[in-house]
Amino acid sequence: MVAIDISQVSRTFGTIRAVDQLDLRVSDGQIFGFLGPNGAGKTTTIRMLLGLLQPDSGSCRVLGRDCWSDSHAVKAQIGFLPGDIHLPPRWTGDDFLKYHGSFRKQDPQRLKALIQRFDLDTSRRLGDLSKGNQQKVAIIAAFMHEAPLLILDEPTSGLDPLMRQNFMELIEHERQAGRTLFLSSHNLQEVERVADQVGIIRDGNLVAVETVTELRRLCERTLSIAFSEEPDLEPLTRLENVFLRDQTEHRAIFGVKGPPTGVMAALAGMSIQDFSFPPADLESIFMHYYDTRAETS
Amino acid sequence: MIRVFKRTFRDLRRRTIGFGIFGFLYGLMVCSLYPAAQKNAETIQELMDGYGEGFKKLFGGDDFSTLPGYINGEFFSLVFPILITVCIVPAMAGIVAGEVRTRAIDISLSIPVNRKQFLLGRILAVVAMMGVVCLSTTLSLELGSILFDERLPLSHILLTAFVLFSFGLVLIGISAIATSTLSSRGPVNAVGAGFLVVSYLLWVVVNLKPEASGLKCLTIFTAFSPRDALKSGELVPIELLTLLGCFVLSATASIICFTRRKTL
Repeated sequence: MVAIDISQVSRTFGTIRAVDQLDLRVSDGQIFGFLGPNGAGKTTTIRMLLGLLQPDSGSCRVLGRDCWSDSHAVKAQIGFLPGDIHLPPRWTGDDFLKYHGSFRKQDPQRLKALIQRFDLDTSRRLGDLSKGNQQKVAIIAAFMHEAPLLILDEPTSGLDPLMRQNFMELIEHERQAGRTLFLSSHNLQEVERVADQVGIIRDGNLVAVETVTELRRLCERTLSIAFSEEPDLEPLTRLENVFLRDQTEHRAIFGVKGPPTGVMAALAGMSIQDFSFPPADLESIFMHYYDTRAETS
Repeated sequence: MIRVFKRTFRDLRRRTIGFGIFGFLYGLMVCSLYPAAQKNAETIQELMDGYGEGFKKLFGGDDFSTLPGYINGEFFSLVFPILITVCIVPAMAGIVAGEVRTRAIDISLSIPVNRKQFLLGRILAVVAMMGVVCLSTTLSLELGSILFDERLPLSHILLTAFVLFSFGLVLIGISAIATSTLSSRGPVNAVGAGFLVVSYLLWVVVNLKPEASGLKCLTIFTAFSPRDALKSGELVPIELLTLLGCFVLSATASIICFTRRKTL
């Protein structure tokens, strides 16, 4: 089943096209990482999923229901954490959680466990809490009612490393419980760690949707070689998927796209002193897509 | 909707208590000054007679010799409309427009209620707040009239509270349209206060310039006559229906605007 189905959605604000013909599908039970810099259209997409914005064209559906015309029913299925958290300053944490919990069925034991997990004092006024503690309140509110779909916008911003770890464990727990997570983040390491699939958005367009493994495979990796004597690089540069990026007397740096089989064969007869060929991380993948687009434009 | 109403009303409790106490004390103060005014009623009336009929009617100065007339002139003709505007309009500005500005609306609307229920719950909370303020204000008049030996019947007091309440409803309706369509508090406050000022200015013009009497249908002050309720316990049905009709129409319009609003 498809948890999120965004089809040909566009949304403009005045003359600015925030989302342009966006197509995106997230399957049930999947953790989907939604990546992009500020202004790429991530929050606009999320706000359309919540029925806060109406698409100019196209349709957004969550668990089979239209996000605009049936937003009431859609919201009952969603646990939501906004990126920009503004909690009512005079309410206590208890007030906030009780109010939000009153609209949906929830297990008091789960709420208690979440409060303990995040080590939160819910008796204090929200206005007196630090940004990190306000973030914890909002995280608990999103997770407490066991919604089948969780939409989390920058979930770990403001959390300390210990709480971030706690949060990642919670995500893992939710994955095992079969829930769908739509995770928008700048923190690529975190997304890389948990996401089954990643979507990269730029200028309102989805430029890639792949598994992290597939993205790694598609993107350029850096091969750095130190030779013990001046090498003949011609067998390497003849390969279609290998690009010479830098060269000094005994050292060369290549970009390698796709499987490195040909590279390994070409290197077999060379006198190599040192060799490094790290896997592409999500950050380099992300930068790859942005660099490619920048070059194109 | 009930939960939204209860929560919003709870959030408005400080404002309710504050304005309730202010209205109560101001009502008592007006009553306490009445004996002194009564002693000098002739002098005051002579002074007032020096002004034109329109001016006297405008400031409720055509009947300072009775307690209802005195209260009308000193309280209902200008201070109460200002009090209720200061009480209501910022509260209405905060229930949607203020939250849109800060994006707090994202969390407020993440609960599974539709926009109609959400806005209606919040408008009704402000209506309830205003009801408490009107009631405490008019009950102070009852207490004041007992303390200063000019007892006003409780039925007259309650009818007066209803007239004041109906007047406040119109302001709530106008502010509801503003808050459901605008995206920050300032413009909503400006619309609410502007509506009162323009209405009052039109009322001034209508009273001072007989040839402009056609404008009276454009100001809510035409349909606002709490003195009659306080003095004789009579309600003017057409006036009340006009005020209540304005509220129903404007509140409905605000809900339609909010549910159709493409961007929050």
